[in-house]
Amino acid sequence: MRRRRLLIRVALLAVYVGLATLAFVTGKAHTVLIDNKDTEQAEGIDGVLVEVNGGEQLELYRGDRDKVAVQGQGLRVRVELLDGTATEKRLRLPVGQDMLLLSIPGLLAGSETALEPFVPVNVAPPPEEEEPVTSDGLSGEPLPETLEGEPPPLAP
Amino acid sequence: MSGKRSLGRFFTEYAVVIIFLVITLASIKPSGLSLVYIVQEMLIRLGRNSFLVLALLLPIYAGMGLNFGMTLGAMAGQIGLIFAINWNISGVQGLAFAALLGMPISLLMGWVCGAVLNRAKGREMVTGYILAYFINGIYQFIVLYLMGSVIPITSPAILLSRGYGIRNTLNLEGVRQSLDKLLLLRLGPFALPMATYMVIALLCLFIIWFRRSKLGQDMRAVGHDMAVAGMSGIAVDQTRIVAIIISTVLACFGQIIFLQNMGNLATYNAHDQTSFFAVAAILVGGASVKKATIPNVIIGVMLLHSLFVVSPLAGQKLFGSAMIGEYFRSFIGYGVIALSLVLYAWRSRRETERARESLRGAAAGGAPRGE
Amino acid sequence: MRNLRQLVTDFGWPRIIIFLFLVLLFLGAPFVRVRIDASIADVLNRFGQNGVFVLAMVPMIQSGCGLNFGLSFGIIAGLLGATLSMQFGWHGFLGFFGAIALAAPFAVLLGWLYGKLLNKVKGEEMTIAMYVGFAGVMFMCIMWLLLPYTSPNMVWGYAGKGLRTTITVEGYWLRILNDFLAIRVGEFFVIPTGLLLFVGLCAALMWLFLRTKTGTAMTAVGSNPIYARASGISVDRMRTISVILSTVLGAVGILVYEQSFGFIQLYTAPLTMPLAAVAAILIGGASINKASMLNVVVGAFLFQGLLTMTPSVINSALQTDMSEVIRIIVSNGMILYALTRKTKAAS
Repeated sequence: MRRRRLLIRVALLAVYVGLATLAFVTGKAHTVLIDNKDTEQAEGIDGVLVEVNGGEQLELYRGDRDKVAVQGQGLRVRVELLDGTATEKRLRLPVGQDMLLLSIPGLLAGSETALEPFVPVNVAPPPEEEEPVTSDGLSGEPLPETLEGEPPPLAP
Repeated sequence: MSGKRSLGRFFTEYAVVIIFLVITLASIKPSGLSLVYIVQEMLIRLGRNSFLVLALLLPIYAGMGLNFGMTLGAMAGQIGLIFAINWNISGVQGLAFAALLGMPISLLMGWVCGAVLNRAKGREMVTGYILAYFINGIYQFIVLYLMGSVIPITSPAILLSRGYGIRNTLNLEGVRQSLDKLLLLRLGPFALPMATYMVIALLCLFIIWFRRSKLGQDMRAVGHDMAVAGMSGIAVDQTRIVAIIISTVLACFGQIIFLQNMGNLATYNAHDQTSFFAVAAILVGGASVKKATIPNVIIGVMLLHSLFVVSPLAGQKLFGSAMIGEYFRSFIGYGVIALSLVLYAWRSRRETERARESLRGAAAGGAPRGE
Repeated sequence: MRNLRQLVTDFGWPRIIIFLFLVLLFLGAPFVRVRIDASIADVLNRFGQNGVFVLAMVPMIQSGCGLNFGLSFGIIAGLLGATLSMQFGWHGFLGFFGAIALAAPFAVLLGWLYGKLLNKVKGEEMTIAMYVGFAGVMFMCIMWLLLPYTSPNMVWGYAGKGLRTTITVEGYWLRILNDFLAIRVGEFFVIPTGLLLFVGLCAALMWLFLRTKTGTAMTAVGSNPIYARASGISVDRMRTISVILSTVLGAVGILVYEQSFGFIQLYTAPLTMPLAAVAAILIGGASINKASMLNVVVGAFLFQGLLTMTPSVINSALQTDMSEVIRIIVSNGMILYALTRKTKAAS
């Protein structure tokens, strides 16, 4: 009886961890930058239409870069050239990376390093904010005034 | 003669609902809002708030009054969301992840809350209220100081500029309305978040099933009379704690549903008003401290929020100040809770007095005194 | 050794912890460049500022009505008195004591109504008090916007009507008590003698009152209602008297607070003040149905000491404002501790 209870508990724990992992992996959002720039292996293409995971079609000229938000691991890229030929490739995104760079020329050339992690160099700092106000008024100090001419927000 | 008496009793029983209905209906015209708009707002708010209000049912069932400690569950859900945002998990999976992460936290919180409330029998509501503030302090400490420093946060975008502590407002872009939009049904000018409704319906089914289960029956007995329940062999204290734990976990999920609809998280304030709105809603729906049903929840949410939608604009039109409308609706909100509590306390005292009188009257051989 | 242990259990562990924490803060102050004399002066100021509020808790605790979460009513009466006194243009001592005189009838009326309500709901007073208090404050919020005040010092400049959120008392009765017979010791240290005398006077009056026939009857009702009723005391009447007393003290309390703090705070400010007074008296050792003058003094001192020293010392030490959070945890923790203790008398 006790063993059975332990078994159930272990099973529940396994289900819990499994669900959490599933949610994590399938839900993780990545930002993929689609590049049409010159790389070491291949040149940028004059004009190309890219569609990721059946989403919006992006038009990229040589030297362009666009971005796309993707959820989950799988990446289905459809590249259509100006002459009408289309290629479709499937890629796997690594779980850990938030931002990735996909080079279209590299992809079409079959390069191994077409998809690589991207670490943004210049991240615009988020706008300055004041320290969060955590007062519950217990101190007897006046709560910080809102705009002049406005009664304070409704507590508690 | 008895018809008039039962009419009077009907009024005291549903005084709060009636007053609310009257005030709301009276405010619709001055507010200038179209009926379509009001109904659409109602549909949204039903989806957004019902889960949270349903979380209050079990503690009432178990005789513990209004669970102001539900805020603890809300905070657990928020911590879950913070991590989901941190790891950039979007869509419904983000919500599920937040819920899964928040669950163990809310289980613990519920256990703490239940244990504390058991030590304050007879004063559960005040104690729950203060406990919420207390845990709020601990939550602030964790989120404002520990996150980003002791607790690793990998996404610098959600931290304050000083390097640790979560920002005041978190944009929930990734999970925004992900549950609502999962199954959006358009019916004429209205949009119904069917997935959300289904989740709420599932919860209702769960509650109905739970009430019939052994644990549910135990809770009912405890709620009815703790002493008698104890003598029948029910572990009173433990049953009460379970009621609070379930309530807290539900509050955790409910807060996540609430926030996904709102679209952003006011990290340090979002949970402040949670218990107020939920308690006001259930009371407006006709529930009391000892008795609450699922219809109370649905009716209450609709009534409370319809008033909250119309009153600021009605106040603007009638008094020339939107602020008055806001104060008015807070006044009504608090007043409703106060009125319900007063009516409940007054009625239960009258019942005990009536019972005492009838015993005395029977013993003396006379008829029991009148109403 | 046994006596020491007895003293510890009587005093209660949380209180001792708070006391030691406070001592620690004082000891640490000079190391973070916080002046001790200025700090002590600050603490004395805030003690006097809040003392009457804490005192207002005593009558209702003694009569068994519990912690007065509805102190907001007394505060509202006091605010009415203050604003009316200012509207009439009364300055100085006339302004201050006039405000008290104007507030008194409101306080008595509100206290009487509030007391009658509480009598009908014996047993659930605290939650009801809280929410009735909140509703009352919200109602007054509407009133502050609508009542026909005209004094330019008080109304919104742009619209010309409706009271401002914060009204300064400078020029009227700012620090009228504090500065009375104040003793200056060095540049940073001023003892607010008048304030302390006034608070002391109120406490002394309360102490005397509790020893009168009515006072003892009140205490009896709180500690043993069955015995009280058997002795012919009207429980309801004593409770109502205690509520009126508490409300009046609340009105005086907010006036004392305002003259020291320097501002009249309207609208939603009264929402959180009762909690501070409740926390203070509990820190001072009171229980839900028993409170003494010692509790008031010790509680107000410890609580305000905490509130004053924590921000100045910890912020200087850690270069960060952790004081609010610590305050929230400590004061609410204190109230929790009191609420979860088993009381001997019937609740």
